[in-house]
Formats: sequence, structure tokens, C-alpha cells
Amino acid sequence: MNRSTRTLALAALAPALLVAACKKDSDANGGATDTTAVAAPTPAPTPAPTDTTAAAPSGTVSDAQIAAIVLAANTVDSTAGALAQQKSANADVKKFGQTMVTDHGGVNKQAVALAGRLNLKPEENPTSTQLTQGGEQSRTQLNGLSGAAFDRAYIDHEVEYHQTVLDAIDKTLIPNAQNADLKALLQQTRPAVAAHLEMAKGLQTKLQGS
Amino acid sequence: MTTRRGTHAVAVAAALAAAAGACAQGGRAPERHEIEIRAFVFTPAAQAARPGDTLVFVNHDPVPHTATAVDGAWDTGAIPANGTRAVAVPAKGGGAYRCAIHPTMTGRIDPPK
Repeated sequence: MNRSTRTLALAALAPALLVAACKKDSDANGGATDTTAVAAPTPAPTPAPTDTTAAAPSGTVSDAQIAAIVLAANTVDSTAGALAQQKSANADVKKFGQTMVTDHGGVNKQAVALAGRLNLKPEENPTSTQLTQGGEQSRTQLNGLSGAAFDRAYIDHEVEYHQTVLDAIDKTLIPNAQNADLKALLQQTRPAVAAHLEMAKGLQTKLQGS
Repeated sequence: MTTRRGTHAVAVAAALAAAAGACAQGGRAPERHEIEIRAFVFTPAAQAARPGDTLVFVNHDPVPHTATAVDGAWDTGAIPANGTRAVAVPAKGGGAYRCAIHPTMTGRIDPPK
């Protein structure tokens, strides 16, 4: 199985893993139907490490769990951005990576400060764990690429990752956040994720034309 | 004596700068315009301002932004999260600008109608 096939296989497997996780949550919630399952990612021209996109949370999550999800999501993308800065020779991709490091680091700083003010201890949960593990797998896969292949795979991944995080913010995190300050932080973070998504899509188009 | 001369020099320089600003403004005093950055949007998106006016950008977002003229004539530099930066409208006017970090964010400084 070559890398592309393997990556696509991971992508195909991801929704199944998610459905299993959703069912568990659903059972725990009295069998309530979960409508937040993430659709399979749109196939990209260059297969990207898409396993992290399987991590959209579902069902009811507590504020402590949301805090852990926010921290994991930002850390994963900040780490990927640092890798892009280190590995890419493309000025646009490097700059995008730098922005991810700065922005997601900035949001995490505020999240940590807020958690401290609220005496809210982030609670690891299946979603935050999946995000972290998926991020590690993506990093391993991206580390095996170089040049234009790396750039395309990284940016494809960024498009899918930000779309998934955006969906999670809209469908699960904001609706479930109980504390007003935590909800406000999520609402403040949403435009950043949306802007990153548009920037990544723009770069994706540019890379396809190069 | 040296101190007095220095004080006079500063006063004269300030008066000259004020006079130059007033000339650029057609005799009116420079104005201050506040532009808010919130949720990755400049508000107002189009600000009327004359050369010599001061633009104050207030960043309410959790991430840094810039306000950078598309033609490179002026630049706030990084405006930190919850920070503020001021910049003067140059003689030829403000024109279109954007955030150099997040180019999807755009705005305009137009001459008053």
C-alpha cells in the first residue's frame, strides 16, 4: 500500500471510528440521536493526512472537556505550523505556518488564562485525545514528505482540519458551553478559524496552479 | 541656557509640525479616528480621513493583526491582542489597506466627501 492509498484508507476509516465514538456518547445520553457526526472530508487533489479531522466532538460535553478540546485543537495546529515553518521552502506556506503558530498560540494563552480564572481544570476526553493522537499521526506522515508534496499535503490538511474545527465550534462547543466567558472565548475564536480556513483554501488553489 | 535653547527648539518644531498639519488639513485641526478590529473585521470598513489625521486601531481579537496600506505607504506594524496602535494618514491619503497577517481582512481610508 503506497502512502496515498494508506492516507486515503485512514480517511475512509475515520468516519467509522467517529460513528463508534458517537454511538458510545449517544448511549450514555439515553440514546439521543447525535447529529454532529462529521461527514467524510472532501477528497483533495493531494491526499493529506486527514485522520485529525475525525475528532469533531459529539453529544454533550462539559466546560472542562471543552477546555481540553480547545487546548488540544490549538496545540495540534500550532505544532503543524511549526513543522511547516521548518520544512517548507515555499514562502507562502512558511508564512501561513507562522500565522498558525502565532494565532493558535495566542488563543491557547487566553484559554489557559480563562481556565485559571474560572478554576476550570481541562478534562481529557475522547475528542481531545483523538485530536492529540491524530495530530501526532499527521506530523509523522508530513515528516515523511518534502518539497511540493509536503506543501500540498500540509495545506490540504489545514483546509480539512479548520473546516472540521469550525463545524465542531458551531455544532457542539458553543451550544454546549455553559460558562458565559468560555462561550465568549469560543465565539471570539470562531472568526480566527474561519479566516484560517479561507487563507488555507486560497493557498490550496495557488499551490494547485503552481 | 542650553536647556532653554533646547526647550525653544522643541516648541518651535512642534509649532512647525502643527502648522504643517494644519496646512495639509486646509486650516482645520487634525482629527482622530478610531477603527475597531473585532472578529477579524475592521469597523468601519471605510473610514473618511484627511492627510495628517490620526488613525487609531484597537484590536479586540485574541490574536495579533496589522493595518497595512496595500501600496505600502503606511503600516501600523503588529497590533497585539487587545492592543492599540496609531498611525498618521500620509500626504497622499490612506487608500486601501489590509491585515498583513490575515489578508482576508481589508479596509479603506477615503478622503471626506
